[in-house]
Amino acid sequence: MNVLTVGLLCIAAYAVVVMIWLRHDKNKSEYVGRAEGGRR
Amino acid sequence: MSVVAWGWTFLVAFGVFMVFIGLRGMRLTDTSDDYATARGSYPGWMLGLSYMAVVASGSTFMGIPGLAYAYGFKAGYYPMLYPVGIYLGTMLIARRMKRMGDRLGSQTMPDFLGDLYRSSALRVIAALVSIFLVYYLMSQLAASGQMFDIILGVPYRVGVVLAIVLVIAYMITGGAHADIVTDAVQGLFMLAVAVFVIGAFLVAMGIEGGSSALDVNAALPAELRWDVHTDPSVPTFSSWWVIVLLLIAHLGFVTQPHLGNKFFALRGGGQTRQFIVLSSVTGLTVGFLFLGGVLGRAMGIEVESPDQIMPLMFLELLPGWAAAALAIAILSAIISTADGLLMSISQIFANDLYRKTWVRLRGGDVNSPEVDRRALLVGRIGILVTGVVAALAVFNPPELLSILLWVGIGGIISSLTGPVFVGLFWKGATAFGATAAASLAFCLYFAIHLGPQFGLYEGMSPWNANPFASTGVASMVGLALTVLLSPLGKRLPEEHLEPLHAVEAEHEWHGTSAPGTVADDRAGGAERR
Repeated sequence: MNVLTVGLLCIAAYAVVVMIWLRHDKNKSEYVGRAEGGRR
Repeated sequence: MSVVAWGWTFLVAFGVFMVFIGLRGMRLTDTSDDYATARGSYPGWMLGLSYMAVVASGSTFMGIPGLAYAYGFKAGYYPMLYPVGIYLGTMLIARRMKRMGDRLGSQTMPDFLGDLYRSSALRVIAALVSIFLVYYLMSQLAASGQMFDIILGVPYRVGVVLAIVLVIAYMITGGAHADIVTDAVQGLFMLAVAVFVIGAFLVAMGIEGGSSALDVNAALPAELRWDVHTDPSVPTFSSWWVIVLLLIAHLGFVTQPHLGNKFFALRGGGQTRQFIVLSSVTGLTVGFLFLGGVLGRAMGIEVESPDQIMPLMFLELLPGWAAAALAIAILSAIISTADGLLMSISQIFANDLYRKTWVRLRGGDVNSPEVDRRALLVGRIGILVTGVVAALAVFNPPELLSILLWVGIGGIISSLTGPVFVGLFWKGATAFGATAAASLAFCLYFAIHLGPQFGLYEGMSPWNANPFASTGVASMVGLALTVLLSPLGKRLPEEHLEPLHAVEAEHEWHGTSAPGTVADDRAGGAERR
């Protein structure tokens, strides 16, 4: 594996982490809405 | 028209546009909070672009390609990994930082630490450590001096002066508003250049008989090619452990004052997603500018200093007007970082040291209109003085830019990572733990890296010459110390912690501050109502 491949793999791993975070963040915002009595 | 003529045309147009934004910002600035943060004023995507532009500086455009020119593909680990570190750290704390910072009405990072831990000592320590940002500013001005010299034919010193005059002009008027909008525009220029450079690399532009990246690689000396990952003789890329530390060092990058305060400008917690996605995608893209340094080396371009490779390569590859336009993009990168640095340093004096420490010590009211007016004035004077000092300090061009700037930021990251990250997540963090950790971590960074850099003693390799490894270690030690030493201090009162750690309220998600909060007052809420 060369430098570019290793670097791109790390970036791909980061992209996966971001997608997981985006899902978690979305779930949290739905909770926030419910905590406020469903008002939006 | 020659490159120089085109360069001046674009530069004047660019300068006029930036000053226009500055004046617009001045119209929007009523309070010192507006000036320092532009709280709640801009949507996530715009701040994401602005954040990317602040993070990617002259280092990304000149310094890192310079490293790649000197050390080959292995230098690419730096720009491919540092954004991952930075944006991971950002993702971890952005929402909380925004929420807590707004609830406390904090204007800067040192201020936030002082407010969170209820400690003037911590605020002052963080503020003093943050003054090291001036090294970061110095490296940006040196980069602009080089740019002006090569593309516009202007002597280096004149270039340094021109750059700082332009930045002072729009920052002194427009503050954070000017900072954010100009950064976003500059970010777009930077992205365009990065896309071009990546394309040029992929088609082996400028390589005789070359048609792909394989040809670029083949044209390099053997030790610079992409199958060589480390080099024991180069402190920054000497081993795999050192490369991993590079990523770790950047996790705490977000604690720097000129970045941490960007979250306060978000319109609401709901904007964080746009912010994270846009800043990281664009930030990772511009990282690949290092390929320009590799390409330049493969083309056989000769340079006086490796940091000059990008502008020299543009002159070689492109017609005059395009080279000049790209020069403006590089200038954008530099200025978009320099303005944020100037802002932060000035606010260290105006807010952290004057308003929140000095006024309080004298028993004054930190929220009074008179203090606010004086803070605004101190901030504006601070910008002028800091700009002049930084410009004078680089009147003789320094060596490798990327290493110089880390004299500044390594200390800040080492010191503040523990208190910020731990304090945001753990109610058990105490003022004693945070203050002790901040001080000790900074001392460690000084001992292993700054001491040798300042010529005080030899030190140990690679720490004495590798700022990333030193910061990586010192910041992790700071994290551990914050956790370990906090139990030795007095726990913060529950009535202070509970509202700070509480779940986001609806209005915080959407971006309107609750009536009567400090943040709302600062944003002129009372007048609006």
